[in-house]
Amino acid sequence: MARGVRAPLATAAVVGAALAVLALRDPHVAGSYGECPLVAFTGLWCPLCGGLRATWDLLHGDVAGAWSMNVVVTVALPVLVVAWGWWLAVRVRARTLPAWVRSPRLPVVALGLLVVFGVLRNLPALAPVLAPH
Amino acid sequence: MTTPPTDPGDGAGTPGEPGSENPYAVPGQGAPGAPDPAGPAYPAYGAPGPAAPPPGGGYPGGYPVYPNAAPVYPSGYGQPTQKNSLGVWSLVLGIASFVLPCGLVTAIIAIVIGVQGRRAVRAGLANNAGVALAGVILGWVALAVMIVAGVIIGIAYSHDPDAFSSASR
Repeated sequence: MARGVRAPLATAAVVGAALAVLALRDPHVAGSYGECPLVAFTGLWCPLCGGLRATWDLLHGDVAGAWSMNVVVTVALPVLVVAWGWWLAVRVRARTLPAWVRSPRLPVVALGLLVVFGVLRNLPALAPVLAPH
Repeated sequence: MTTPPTDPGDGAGTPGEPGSENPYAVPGQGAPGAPDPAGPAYPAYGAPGPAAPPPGGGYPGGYPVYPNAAPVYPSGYGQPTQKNSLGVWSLVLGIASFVLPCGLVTAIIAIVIGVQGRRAVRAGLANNAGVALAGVILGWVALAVMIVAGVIIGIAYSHDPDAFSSASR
């Protein structure tokens, strides 16, 4: 087996283990994974707030529930799954990902999107839609 | 992957042995001053030695590297950047580790990817050693901060379980 396949497989193992834990322990139960210090101290929702609950909802087939918890995570998770498959396929064939994926701009854009989402969901006008509810 | 003759940005690159006539000579690479067509060690900025061409073919800018090209590479621009994204990802995740309350995961990933980015710089596939190093440092600092904060919160919580009573996360 190609040596480059190790990284995607190791990633899948770690993420899979985390998802197994998540599937067994419902994050909708308050405090099941501890309290988030940001919400506890400031009441602000960070861009990933509701992410565990959204993931749990998606794992249980509840897309609407996931959407109401965290829009970005709901959209990002399927994208990440597809991206992982792409990564694996590329490594199996010993190719490289296209330039736009390897571009240094991608992480900057991702960070920018997260920051914008974090701001928007804390605006009183948008909180009912974008904050976990 | 072979170790390239150059080691830019790390401070480990040796400017030459004492008494060597060739200031660009690398210790243990044959007679000083003798031209080595396989891999002259120029202190180019993140440039790979010709002995270590990047895998996956070629430079994006179409910048050819000939084994016996002119001894001075024209500054650092147009140099290999294929794996620069590693360093930037590390930096972004390191920053995110401070922004996100659940940054434990991003801090660890920032460290791992940052180390890979620094390795890529050493292999001549990237030229942003500083960015990658910043990502690694941010990751470690975030990790340390979170561990300390976790211990403090844990102690406070054990003294007063209602210390952090709040709404749902």
